[in-house]
Amino acid sequence: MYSTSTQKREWTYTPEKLAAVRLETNIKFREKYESVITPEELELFVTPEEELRMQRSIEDAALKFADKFRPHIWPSVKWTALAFFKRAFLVWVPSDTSIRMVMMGCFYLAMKIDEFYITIDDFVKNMNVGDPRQNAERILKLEPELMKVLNYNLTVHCPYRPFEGHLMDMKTRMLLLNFDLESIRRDSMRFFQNALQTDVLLVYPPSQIALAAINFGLHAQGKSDEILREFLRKMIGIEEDSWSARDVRPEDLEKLEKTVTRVNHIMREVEKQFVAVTEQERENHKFFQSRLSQIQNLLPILNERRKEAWRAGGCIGQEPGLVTEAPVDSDDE
Amino acid sequence: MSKRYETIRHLGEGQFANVYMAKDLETGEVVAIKKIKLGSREEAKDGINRTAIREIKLLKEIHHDNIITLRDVIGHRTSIQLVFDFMDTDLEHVVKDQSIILSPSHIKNITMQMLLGMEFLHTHWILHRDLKPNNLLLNNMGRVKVTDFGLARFFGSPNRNYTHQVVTRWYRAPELLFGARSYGVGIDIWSIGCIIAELLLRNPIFPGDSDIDQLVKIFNVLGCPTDESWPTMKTMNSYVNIKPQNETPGLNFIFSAAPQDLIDLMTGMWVFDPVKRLTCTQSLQMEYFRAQPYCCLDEELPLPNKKPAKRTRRLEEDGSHPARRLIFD
Repeated sequence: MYSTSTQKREWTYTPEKLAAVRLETNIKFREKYESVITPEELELFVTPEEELRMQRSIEDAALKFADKFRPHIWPSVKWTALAFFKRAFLVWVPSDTSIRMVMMGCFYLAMKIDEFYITIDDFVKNMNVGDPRQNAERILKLEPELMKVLNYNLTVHCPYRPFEGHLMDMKTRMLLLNFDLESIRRDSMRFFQNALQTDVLLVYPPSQIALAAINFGLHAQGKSDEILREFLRKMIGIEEDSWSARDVRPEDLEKLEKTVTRVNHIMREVEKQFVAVTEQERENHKFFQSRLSQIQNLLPILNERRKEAWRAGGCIGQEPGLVTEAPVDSDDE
Repeated sequence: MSKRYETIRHLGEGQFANVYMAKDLETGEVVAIKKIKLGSREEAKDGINRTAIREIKLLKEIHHDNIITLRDVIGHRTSIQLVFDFMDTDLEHVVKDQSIILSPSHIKNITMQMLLGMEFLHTHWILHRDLKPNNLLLNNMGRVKVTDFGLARFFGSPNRNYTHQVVTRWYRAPELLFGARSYGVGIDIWSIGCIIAELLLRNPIFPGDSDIDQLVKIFNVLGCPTDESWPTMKTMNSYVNIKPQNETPGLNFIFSAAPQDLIDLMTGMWVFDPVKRLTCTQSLQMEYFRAQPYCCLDEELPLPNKKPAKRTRRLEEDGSHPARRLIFD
């Protein structure tokens, strides 16, 4: 149930809040090293915008990975994995981890969550980079860390089921449509695919994203917004004939207008945010990757400097770099 | 940094986990910690155990008085520990303890708490799929909580098939025994009916020792389903035609001490056609819960090794219990 879900409560943001969280995460990471870093080194650090571009490139590659995956996965695995990925990078930064491996970890976890049975060996057979055994080891090592960063909120509400529900509803309630509603499916699925490379899954409820996909599909068939509006009117229960229309409750009308606006807004956002990843961007990504590996090589040195500074300062406070969480005893009998 | 939980003692071992009683040093409360076993390398080969993942995934989303609360998750490299409310016992122990007497109002209370928890689950589109006395916990406040979500899952996806190898056999609904791959809330309701029967009989009602024998045990009590009572029966994957041994004695004979309204409730939970079986909500609206004797107070529920709480509260003026019961408009 979405209305009481951890997704709504903990992982849904306004666009402004989302930008703020990303900025804060980025700054927090920088600040850790501020006192020990040289200006040249500082230039290596990436901005939140660059981080987001990297995420998008990885998402693009991940969707290709998902579509080629054998055995075939169902769409909700894809949606769940990308939701995990986006959530994780509200807490982690790409400089601190292997962004590509995190994505693979997200897929592996999403398959478990969505009851898609696969062994780790069969999973890594689908990866075309790296040694299978090492890949498997890294993914399994990531699994608990990933669950933790997600705050163990593992249920993701995807728009595919509401989409099927709405479509079924439309078929039964709107008998006078003179075309086959199934014809929108292809374009609606394309809409979902694009939406996966945007922030909409961190901002809007899945059922509204589903409505946007329906409207997108209708547009692609040359239909007007009127069809969706009429469907919503029926769904909300607003009578059309003028006699009973006098009794329409104003809050129902308001709800109708709000939903219509929302749907259009989601469509615009997907159109605006989705950028097909170009060759140029792939080149940029390689460049980013090399910058990231430079930072990652630098981090141990910076951490060493922080420790030195800590010792020089008389060992006050906690030693930097120490794991702060309480180690859990593993005295399993 | 200090540990938040201090182990008190080992409580038991399950298939996938060890359970410990521990003290939450932050709140002072006693909790139960389930440490997921990694055991052999073979078991840990595919990472964190799916059963544990299912429990976390579902329990993080739901909060209800009659559902066990997942208070905390402690992750550590490859091991994972789930922190739950501590519960004193479970219904299996209660049923087996010969020194405990279960009165009709005790049974009504337990049944109601079970149904309230399961109704909540079902409205959140979750099937438990493994209800049995041992998965219904009881604490010393008389609160019943459903536990063990290792087999539970969201339902309602039209295109997915589910395994029928769920639910401990004695509590398994006939459609599962016939190999149904799509099923719904009816499988949980069937189990609840079996649990109520077990509270009354103090023995399992359908103790089959194979899947076929399970069906025989059921049909011996309830009679055989017919094409009319269960039209889709013969379309099931592993449908077998079973002839009843003899005339069924009837539920009134088996539960000679149970009032008719309770027999009606069980009958509704054991309708063969899952579509016509009672739902939790319908069960809660049955005459059984409107009729006397009402549920006892939670704290009057008996526990093993514990004398039932003294009735300190005064009876209401009309002599009835100030009991826990549903309010009907």
